[in-house]
Amino acid sequence: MEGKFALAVLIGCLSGVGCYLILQESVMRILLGLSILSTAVNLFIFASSQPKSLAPIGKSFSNSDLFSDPLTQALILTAIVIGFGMLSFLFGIACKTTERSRCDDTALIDLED
Amino acid sequence: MLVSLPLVLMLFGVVTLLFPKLEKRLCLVGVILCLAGLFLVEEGSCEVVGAYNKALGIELCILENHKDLIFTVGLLFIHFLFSSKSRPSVALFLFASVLGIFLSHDLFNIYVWFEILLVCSFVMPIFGKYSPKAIFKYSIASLIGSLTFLVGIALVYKHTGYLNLSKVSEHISYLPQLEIGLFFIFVALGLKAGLVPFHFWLGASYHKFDLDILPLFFAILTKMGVYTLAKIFSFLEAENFILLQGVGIFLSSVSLVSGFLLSYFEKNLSRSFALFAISKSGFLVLAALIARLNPMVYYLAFDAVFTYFLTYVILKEKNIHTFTGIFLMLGWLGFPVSGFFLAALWILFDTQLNGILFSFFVFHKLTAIAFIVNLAANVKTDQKLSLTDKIFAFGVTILLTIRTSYALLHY
Repeated sequence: MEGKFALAVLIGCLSGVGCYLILQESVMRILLGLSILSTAVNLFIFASSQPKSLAPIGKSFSNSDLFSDPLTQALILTAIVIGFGMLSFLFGIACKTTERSRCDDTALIDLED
Repeated sequence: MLVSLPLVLMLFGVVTLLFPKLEKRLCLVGVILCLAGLFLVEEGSCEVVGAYNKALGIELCILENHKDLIFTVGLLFIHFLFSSKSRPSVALFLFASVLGIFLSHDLFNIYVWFEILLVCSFVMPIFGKYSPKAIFKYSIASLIGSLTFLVGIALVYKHTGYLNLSKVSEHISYLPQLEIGLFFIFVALGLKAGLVPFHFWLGASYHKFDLDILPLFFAILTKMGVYTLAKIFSFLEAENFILLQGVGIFLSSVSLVSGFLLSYFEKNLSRSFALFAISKSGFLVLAALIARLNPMVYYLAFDAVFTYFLTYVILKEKNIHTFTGIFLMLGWLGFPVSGFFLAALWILFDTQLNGILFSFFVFHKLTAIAFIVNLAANVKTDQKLSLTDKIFAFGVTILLTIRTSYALLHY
């Protein structure tokens, strides 16, 4: 019970921090916010499977109630890889944007040709 | 066979990178091979990847009427490969992801294919003239949409225990928590489709992309969100979630009306197209919430062909950036435009018409005609369709018309 509560609090805090950073004007803070929000979403998927005490690998599955759901863990793994790729691309775009405009503020970046 | 179709496209996409001189030809071979493979697959058939259980494995299905839709999209991609200066290999990956979304039968795979689609759509503008700020806005909005979609998927999995659409529909229970999950999915796909109030990125980014790629973006990319929404909500029987349907109908109606009003007042041509895309998304989401998936498939195919060639012809003229807008323009063509505009509004509020979807359909068609007449009145262009373009556009339209008529008579 305590572990679940702690997980819920952690997801809530990470989501709050992620949303706060996304609403900032700095490009890098927005990306950092997206990264944190993505972690919160991954933990949320993990929480949706009701995590149990044993890892679902290398053991006999005679008592499946003791094992965590492996499907959500596979989903999280895929989501992490995809999220990492997307964020890397966005960091590249952000670097180019800030380099060309010489500022990090979304309100001041005006590269519209 | 079904599993290999998107993989063939991706394989050709990789091979073309090794032989840049043969890029276009190899891409064409890839698309043709894929369409030929699709021709051999029976409609309604499903395949599970590997030896997994259907509930846990990756299932691909070709649903009823989807062959025609995929063939139409494939033909548009072939035209794009030859008419665009953009990298054909990226377009091939884009087609693979579109095909993946059409074939995927579970929620998480739809998410994965959507991410591949997004990566391709982020990369495509970079090869032409682009504004990093526009790509940044588009990417951030899309990524937030993807994260929201994941939250929705997690909630659906939590309350049904499945991700496979058929299994989810078998085990669905009309709990408020599940409705919240569907709300997340609605918001995520609404963001991707540019539905009001999630439309802010569309008008701010699309008109800054290279005109070369815009026909594909307007005709196919914005429609993928709507298509996925229709597919998921059709399987999950969203009409039983009263609150979700009410909110969805309200937002899509607002999108339908505000999209076309905003597009009329807009002076920038590409931006006007982008705003009109919001109106179309509104109509399609409305149809998705009220009607089932099957009738929508033909409409999507028609709309993709129509939007693609309209955008292709109008936006290809590089000198046109602005036009005068309905209320500022001069000339006699203003009268029919205003006529269609008023008739559309009158039909929208006419309570005598039978059924909300029919009223909105007539409204949507009249606004589309008004939009085109407005373009014809304001845009003076020397751009002419080549003979190949004409044959292509009319051929695809005629084939679709024959196929639709046959389907209507048959059912």
